[in-house]
Amino acid sequence: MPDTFRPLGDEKPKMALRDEELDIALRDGLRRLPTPAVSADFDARVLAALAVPPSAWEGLRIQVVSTLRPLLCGTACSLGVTLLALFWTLHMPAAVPALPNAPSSARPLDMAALDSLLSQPRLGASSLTVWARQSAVPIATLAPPPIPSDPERRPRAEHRRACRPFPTLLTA
Amino acid sequence: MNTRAPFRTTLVGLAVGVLLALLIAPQSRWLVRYQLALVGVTVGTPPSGPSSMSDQPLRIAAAHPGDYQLQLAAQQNGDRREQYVAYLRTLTPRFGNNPSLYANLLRYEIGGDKEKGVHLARPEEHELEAARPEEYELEAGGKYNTLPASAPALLAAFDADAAQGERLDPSNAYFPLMHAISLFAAHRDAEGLAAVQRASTKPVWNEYVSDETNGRLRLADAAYGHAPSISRVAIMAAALYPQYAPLRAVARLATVLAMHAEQSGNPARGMSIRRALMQDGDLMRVQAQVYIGNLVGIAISATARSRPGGSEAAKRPQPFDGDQWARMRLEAFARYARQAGFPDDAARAEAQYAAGEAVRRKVSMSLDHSVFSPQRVNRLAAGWIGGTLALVSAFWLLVLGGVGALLSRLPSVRNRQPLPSAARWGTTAALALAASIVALLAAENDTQPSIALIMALGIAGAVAVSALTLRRDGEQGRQRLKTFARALGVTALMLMGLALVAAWQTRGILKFVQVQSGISGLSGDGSGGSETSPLIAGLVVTGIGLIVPAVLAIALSIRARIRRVPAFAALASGFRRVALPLACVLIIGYGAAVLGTLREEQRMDNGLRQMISHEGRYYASLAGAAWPGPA
Repeated sequence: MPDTFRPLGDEKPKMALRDEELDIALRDGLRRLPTPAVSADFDARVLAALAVPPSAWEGLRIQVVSTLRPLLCGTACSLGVTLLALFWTLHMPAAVPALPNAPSSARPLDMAALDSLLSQPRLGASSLTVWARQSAVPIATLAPPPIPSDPERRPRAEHRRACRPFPTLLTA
Repeated sequence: MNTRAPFRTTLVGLAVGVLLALLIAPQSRWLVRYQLALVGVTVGTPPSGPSSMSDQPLRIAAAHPGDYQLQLAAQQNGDRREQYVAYLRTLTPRFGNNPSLYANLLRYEIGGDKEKGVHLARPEEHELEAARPEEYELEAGGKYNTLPASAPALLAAFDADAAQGERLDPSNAYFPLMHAISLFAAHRDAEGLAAVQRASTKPVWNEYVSDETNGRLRLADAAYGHAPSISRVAIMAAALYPQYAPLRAVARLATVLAMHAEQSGNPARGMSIRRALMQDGDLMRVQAQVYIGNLVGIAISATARSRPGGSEAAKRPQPFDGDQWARMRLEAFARYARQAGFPDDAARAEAQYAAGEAVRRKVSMSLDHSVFSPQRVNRLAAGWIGGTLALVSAFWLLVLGGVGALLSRLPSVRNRQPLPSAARWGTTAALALAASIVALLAAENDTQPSIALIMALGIAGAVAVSALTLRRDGEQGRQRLKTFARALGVTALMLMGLALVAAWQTRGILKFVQVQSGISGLSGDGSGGSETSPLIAGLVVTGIGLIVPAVLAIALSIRARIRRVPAFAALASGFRRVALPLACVLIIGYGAAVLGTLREEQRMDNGLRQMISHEGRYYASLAGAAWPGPA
């Protein structure tokens, strides 16, 4: 009977040994191959792939929450900050600070100016401000006029000129 | 991962939070509601419901018949003085025991038309200034003798009101001094002098002017809600004080009578009249609630020092100014008083002059900083305008951002392809037609053939020519015509939508204008409402609101040019991406502007309250000075 027709179990032991060695070597080699590390979300991905897909409502809810979260956070922050700023603004001292030496373009009211102001036909609450605006002068020219010296000390001729219109009891 | 979406959403949240905070807080809610109304957004109950704004104050006053201040302010005083006096008399049954009613009656019975008001203008007043008797006679024969006398019935009513006021408020010098006006007008000089001297014995000067001002402010608040300070300043600025001119005439006449007494050898009698006048003037200088009243008090005291001892009148010598002249006249009076044996009066006159100087010089320098000063008003107006501009711009950015989002769905925009020429023609034709329609509406009152009409005809012709030019034979021609018509229709629809939005916004503006007109009516100028063309108002506000989007469009166009991207696609996608964040930034900026405006409003309100209480003290506080007390 030729060798090709012999059943498999009748192979020579030398061939079987070689297969087993190859098998062992293969296993040994496979065992020595580096094992890749499992990623952190491997389990989750596997489970997610096996899980039931979310419904449309669930998806919408997730989208709405993810949109609303930054919106609500921003709203809450700015609400608090604005209310605080409003409280601080309105509780600052409200009076306009006094300006004792602040320059002003308002013309000092001399008696002639006072007379012309008070002679206006429709004297009202805003007449003064309107008058002050119309008679505004440059600040540099706002030096107060010199007060005349004691008339008793002035030269006699100047004193006579200044006081002529008002006779006293001595001259009346 | 798209990081822009959470950033944009957070920005929207910040803007919403700012608006919410300003609407929640009552201190800022009124201001934001006012400004949102300008954008066409009504939040909560509108400031007033009735269609007729000018009736609102009357309704409020009718609902509070026992509130004196509201009743006082329910009618306008303006130029219809005699009608206001008649109205005040109708309040007598309800408020006849309130001296304030008679104080205001006396004030408004003065002046007006010579036949219908009490006035005091006698030629003898000018004896104080006339240098020589013949000058006085010349003036008396010329200008001053032509004054008609006040009607006796008016004088009698004035007398009765002054007497009743004095009975109800016996410690108030205002009533006897006002009574002197009608007494001198009726040539009852002895009684007039007695009234002047009676006034000098009273410790108080109270004109009750704050009742009318407070009444008008309260009525404006009740009828129209918390109004901007500018409106309240306008109400206060409209208060009139016709009583000061005749009070000065009383001072001149009384001084002339004092002078006559001195000239006839009775210096004690003369000095007692002058003393009473100086006391009245000093009381007004210290206690008058309005600053003009303080100044009139100074003027009355100065008048009382004129021509002491019957000395010769003289005009101010040329080298001396008004202040020096006043000082010289004081010194002359003090010299006379000491020599005539009245040293106390000399000292009192000098003290009053010094106090008057302090008021005139230092306090008057604060006028620049009062609530009426242009600087304060302009600062407040800038806050209002800036905030409103930010809101209107944000509004239109949101609208145009929505339009950009819609246009971004077009394939040509998505693929960044230029518009077909037929579509460009269609869009241009639609824009030109819209411009000509607006011009025609704006020129509707022009009866002559207007440029707008010619422009409209030209544009219509161009549209027709372009439509015919685009038409070509065959399928290509029909396709181009379809594209042209589609673009024309879409653009026209969009423009109509924008016009409707602008019209809706204009409605809010007109309501705001009506409210302001109603408040102006309370200031007594008689204008119950103003006619504002809705088209003009809409064009103005829409134009203002489109400034920022226009600048954005220019920037996007330049960017598109640099990047060689079709302008239409760049504008549509640019507005879609940038409009919302930019609008949010504007709203956050608006919030900051509101805080600044509220601060300025608070300052103005504080100033108004102080001015109503005592205007002179308010000016003194601005100057860092104490208000001078009695001399």
